[in-house]
Amino acid sequence: MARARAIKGLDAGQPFAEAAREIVAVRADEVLVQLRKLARRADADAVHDVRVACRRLRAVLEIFEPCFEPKAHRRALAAVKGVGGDLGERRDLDVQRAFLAGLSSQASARDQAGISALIESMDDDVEAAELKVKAVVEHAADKQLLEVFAALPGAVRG
Amino acid sequence: MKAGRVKGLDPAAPLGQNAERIVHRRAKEFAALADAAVATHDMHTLHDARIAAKRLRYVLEVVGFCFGPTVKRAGVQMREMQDLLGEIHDCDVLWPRIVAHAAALQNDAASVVADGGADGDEDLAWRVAMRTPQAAQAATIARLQLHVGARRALLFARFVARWSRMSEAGFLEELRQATEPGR
Repeated sequence: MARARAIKGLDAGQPFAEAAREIVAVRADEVLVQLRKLARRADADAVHDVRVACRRLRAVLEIFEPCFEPKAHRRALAAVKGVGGDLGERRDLDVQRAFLAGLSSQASARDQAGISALIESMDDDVEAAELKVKAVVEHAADKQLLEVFAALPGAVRG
Repeated sequence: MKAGRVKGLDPAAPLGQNAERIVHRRAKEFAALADAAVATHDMHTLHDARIAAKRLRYVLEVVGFCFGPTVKRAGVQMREMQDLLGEIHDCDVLWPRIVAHAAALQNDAASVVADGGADGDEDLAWRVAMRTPQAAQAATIARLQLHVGARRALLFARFVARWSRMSEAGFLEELRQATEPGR
């Protein structure tokens, strides 16, 4: 999992709104960086890293709500929820398949066949989840998300 | 679960002053949900507790520096709690898929038998049903259910023990003291 980037220069005595601008800018950039990695290689780790970056951004957007213009805040929160949510099914499937594969490696040959059949039964769901991942990547590439997140620092009140 | 709004935040006031309210609110949310999950064993409450742990952890990542080592330790505790609750969640998400697969195998076996696989045996002898291609897989899936159910129970017991220790050690009160002004 990608580690959170340290936010340099923060001070407990600085105004809350100023800290909001700096913190949200870093966390929004982390989402965009992870989305670019996902576009290059949509593997399980990349999907997970985007989701974690989204969750980190959500957590700070929630606490800094009073510092933002409501419309920009709502748009950003909805955008980040959308991305995280759209990747959720793929993440669940990745976790399930990895868990079952791990169990299979400890099982008898007969049980391995049964577990493989269960994993194969997920194929349709995997295909549907892949389409959502593709849509997230395309959405990120058409600059809509970039615009939403880029607008955040300028939407800080005060 | 929607995040609770933290009351009394002031954009013009210092970060540290607002951070105290935020950390305390998020910690209280987690503690209340962890208590409720222990009491009810409810899957959705456990899921909400996991989200609350994430919220507190990710907030501590950005404002934890305003406070001392107790708050840093809370961040580590939340990460561990999040991992544990995540594993329980994985079991909960996998479970209905296993149950659905077992039902599909049962239906497939019934179709095989109905389509002549019973060899004319009106009462369907045990050995005939066990000869269906689904029988071996169904046995595996039953064993898998046993494993996942037992693993889930083990993880839940671990969660209860961990939260009880944290709670008895005064998790909330320690955080409150560590974040209050003039500490």
